[in-house]
Amino acid sequence: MSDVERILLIDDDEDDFVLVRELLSEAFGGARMLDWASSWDDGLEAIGRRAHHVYLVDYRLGERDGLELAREAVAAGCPAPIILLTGQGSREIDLEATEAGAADYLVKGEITAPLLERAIRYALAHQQFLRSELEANEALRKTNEKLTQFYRTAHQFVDNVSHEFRTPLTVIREFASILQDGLTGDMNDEQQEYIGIIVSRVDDLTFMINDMLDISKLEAGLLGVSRKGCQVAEIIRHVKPTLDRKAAASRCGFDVSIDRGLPQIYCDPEKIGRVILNFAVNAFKFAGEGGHTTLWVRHRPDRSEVVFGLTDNGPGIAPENLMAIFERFRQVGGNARASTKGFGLGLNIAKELAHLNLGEIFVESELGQGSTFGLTAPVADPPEVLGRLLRRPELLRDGSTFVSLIFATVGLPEDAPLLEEVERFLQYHLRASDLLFRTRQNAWVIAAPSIEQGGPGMRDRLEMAHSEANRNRPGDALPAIILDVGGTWRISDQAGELIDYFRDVFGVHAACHG
Amino acid sequence: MHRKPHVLLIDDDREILRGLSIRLRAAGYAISVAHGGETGLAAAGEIRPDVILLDLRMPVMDGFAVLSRLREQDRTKAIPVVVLSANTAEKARRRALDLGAEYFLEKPYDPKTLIQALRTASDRSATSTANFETGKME
Repeated sequence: MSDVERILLIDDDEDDFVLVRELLSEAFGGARMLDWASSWDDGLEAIGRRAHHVYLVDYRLGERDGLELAREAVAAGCPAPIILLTGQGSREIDLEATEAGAADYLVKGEITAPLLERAIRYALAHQQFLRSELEANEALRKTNEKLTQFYRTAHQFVDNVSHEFRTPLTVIREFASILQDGLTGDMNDEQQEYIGIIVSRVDDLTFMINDMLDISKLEAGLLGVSRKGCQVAEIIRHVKPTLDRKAAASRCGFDVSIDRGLPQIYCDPEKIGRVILNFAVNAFKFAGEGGHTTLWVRHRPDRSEVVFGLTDNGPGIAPENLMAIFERFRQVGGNARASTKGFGLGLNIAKELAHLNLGEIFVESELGQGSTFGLTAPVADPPEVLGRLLRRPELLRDGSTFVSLIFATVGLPEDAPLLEEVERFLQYHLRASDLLFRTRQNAWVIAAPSIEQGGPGMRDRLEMAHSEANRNRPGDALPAIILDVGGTWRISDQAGELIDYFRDVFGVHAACHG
Repeated sequence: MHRKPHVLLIDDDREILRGLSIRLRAAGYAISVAHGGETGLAAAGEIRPDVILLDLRMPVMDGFAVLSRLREQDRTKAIPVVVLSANTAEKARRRALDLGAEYFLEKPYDPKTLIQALRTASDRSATSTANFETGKME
């Protein structure tokens, strides 16, 4: 019935050895299996040889007892179970035996053959279970380590590749634009056109490298984001020259239509610009030569957001393909080959960049009518922005269950130029999931999501970064920033309370402001 | 009298140096070229250009080292530096600006932006030098 072949008894009493041998013989039908060590030291040495499947250890072994032996054996990695034999049973010894790592304990006077057989069987089964558990854990740990390593390598690789690609691209673009700008003599129209194509495609490749880098950083949690109240017109002004150039290269008509009186939005303007560029490049491709694309921006007061859209008059997308595009949106970090085919990396990163700005992307299309790719961003109303984070914390991919508010104040007049440096410092040291709002020129409030209750983690981090920053600054020292934790709220059931508190913060400050 | 503004280009890629020279000469700059960080640092002290255009990733002495050495030496510490790098990491940008670079531009660069950055940087230096040395600026 059992694969027990060798058992070692460690006991200084020969009578016990004889007794145990008889019991074993009765239980397993043979006495050949039992060896005997008569002292503590001999016992430990025999355990070290690992020649036995089970150890029966007497509690009383002279100066040092069986518990200590069990402890030493376990510490030395003894793989076989140890069953302790005691003169008398007590709850105390029972607990001590378990704590020492023994598999079981038996009271000498009460041992019968079936009891001994059962104890050995259970101890072995349990040991087997522990061993397989341990092996499984070890296998998981190794796999985990390998994946982490692989992940780090992949991230590093993308980083290096993007860097290495930039240098030749710089040279190509440099000399192409020297020709294009006529610095080495005039070119005819046809030559101009061809050079324009080269420059445009080099720019495409540069965008793709930026996207690739962003995806890699995003996956590694390293994508920096710097959100603040922004004018839509400013964002558009920044991307318009590139859009005009791209449209011209695609020979696609392009115009911009922005609602009057748009409110400020809360976003990282560079990231919003990247999404618009990505959508536009797509739209120009869809609309094609002779087609037309409009970039429009509207306010949606009912949802406290601003919508950016790129509408083309291209062939449109069939419903089943529209689904496929949404699928691709969903699988950032999935199969890159499938997800990028024909759409560039752009649509993948667009969704992530939109989420970083607490907005969404959408696609609308009808065959024969054209398509609209769009993006939403919250208006720069702090309670609304915080509300978005609380309603959909997954937008920031953070997994936090709490939000702490931290107040940052600088004791400088509101027109001190160094305050801009403080803003930059805070922006730089916050994580992508933290929201920063400026309540006055010299005061900020940070909403910092966290996995655990309490906000001092963020405060300590900023304080450390502050002294670090001042050690490295060649110019004026960064002014002292007073950081106060305003409280911590649980997202699941205290969100309303937090929003109310937050509204008060801004209400009060607005009143102070005049 | 009007003198051409003088720019020192420091990069370890000879073709980039060549292209930049053509572009900037056409934009009205006098050009000096240094191939690598150490040569660049020496040249900066010798010719004292109006502005330096500096690469970051270079063998032996990288751009960060050049930047901090420029800032340590009296002869070079007032020369404005524009960094032009393929290393676009926020960390690199931050470090370069903390070390006193005026602008951080990414490779590949847009020629208009580059010229704008150089002009702003060298104008600022011309103004502050004049103020400092003669006090004659209004």
